[in-house]
Amino acid sequence: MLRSRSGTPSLGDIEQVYRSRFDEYRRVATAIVGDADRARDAVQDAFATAVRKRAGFRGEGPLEAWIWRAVVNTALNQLRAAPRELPGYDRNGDTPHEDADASELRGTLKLLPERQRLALFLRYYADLDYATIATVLEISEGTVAATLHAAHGSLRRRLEEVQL
Amino acid sequence: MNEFDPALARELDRLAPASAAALDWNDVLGRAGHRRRPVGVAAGAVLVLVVALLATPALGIRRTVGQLLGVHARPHLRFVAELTPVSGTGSGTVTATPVSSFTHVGSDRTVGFTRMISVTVRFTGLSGPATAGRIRVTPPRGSSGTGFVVRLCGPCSSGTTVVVRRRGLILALLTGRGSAEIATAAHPEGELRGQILPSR
Repeated sequence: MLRSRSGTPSLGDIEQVYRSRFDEYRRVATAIVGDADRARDAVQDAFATAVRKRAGFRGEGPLEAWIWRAVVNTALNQLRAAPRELPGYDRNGDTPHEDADASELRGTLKLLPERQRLALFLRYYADLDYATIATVLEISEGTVAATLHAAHGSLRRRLEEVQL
Repeated sequence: MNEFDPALARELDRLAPASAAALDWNDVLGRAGHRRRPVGVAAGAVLVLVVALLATPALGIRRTVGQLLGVHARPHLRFVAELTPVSGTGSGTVTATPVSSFTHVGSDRTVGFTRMISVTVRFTGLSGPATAGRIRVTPPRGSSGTGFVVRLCGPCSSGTTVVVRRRGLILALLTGRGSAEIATAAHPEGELRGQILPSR
């Protein structure tokens, strides 16, 4: 899915990632900050950072993963700067969703450790493989597997409780 | 490895925001403090320069530049309105001529283009003193806009020349959306009126 590149990426390389992957970056950023407008801001700020610091990209991994790290970090910084009580948005990404099951799921997600939440968002909203998630979160692939396994277990238990 | 739980994916998808197209890449470049695409700026600057030179007879090189560039320069742009009375026997004309053009670079590095128009009002045979002269611009067809009015003079004397600058005025006159009117006390909405049209 992701291509490996080497050397400093050009503006065109970054623009190509932006145009082809914007929606995935935005979905994950929205899941992190819980607000569609702030998520769009976070994605654009992250790409602006990537443009400014592209000389720092050494080609040690995929360019997309390097940008993923910028997007996740920017979204986390936004969340920490102005935290929301409970990230929530409807399918248009604009207003809080009032569905009880969805609220329950959001509440469960909120109880997960941050690393588990981020791993879930990257796996399910961006369809990243373990290797890329490991690069983005700067952990090993084994830790990604363990983190997702733990998150799956917590969510499945919680969903089964809700269904009962 | 790479575990993916479809049931969990369906649940998480319920929270996923809908798809959205990528926003403007230039906004990203702006946030990065990066200059807009050099080729765009260069092309825009060249275009504005050519238009400015061709449209500025004061430089005295319009024809030369046009010949050098292989462009046949148009006769100088001019607009005229023949004014007719809503009552009485008055008559008049309004002539409008773009008199200057220049480029500027805004704080966001955009290249702009500004024009002023010299407007001369002539009339005779009114029912009384001219209380006002105006150019009335209607919005483009199908637009929800309201148009605008450019005040020329008030009270007015025949032969009065004023220089006006209004965004969109030249385009409006080029597309036949401007009309001139001379008002009097008896006809405050215009005793003389006429559509302003491009003229050679």
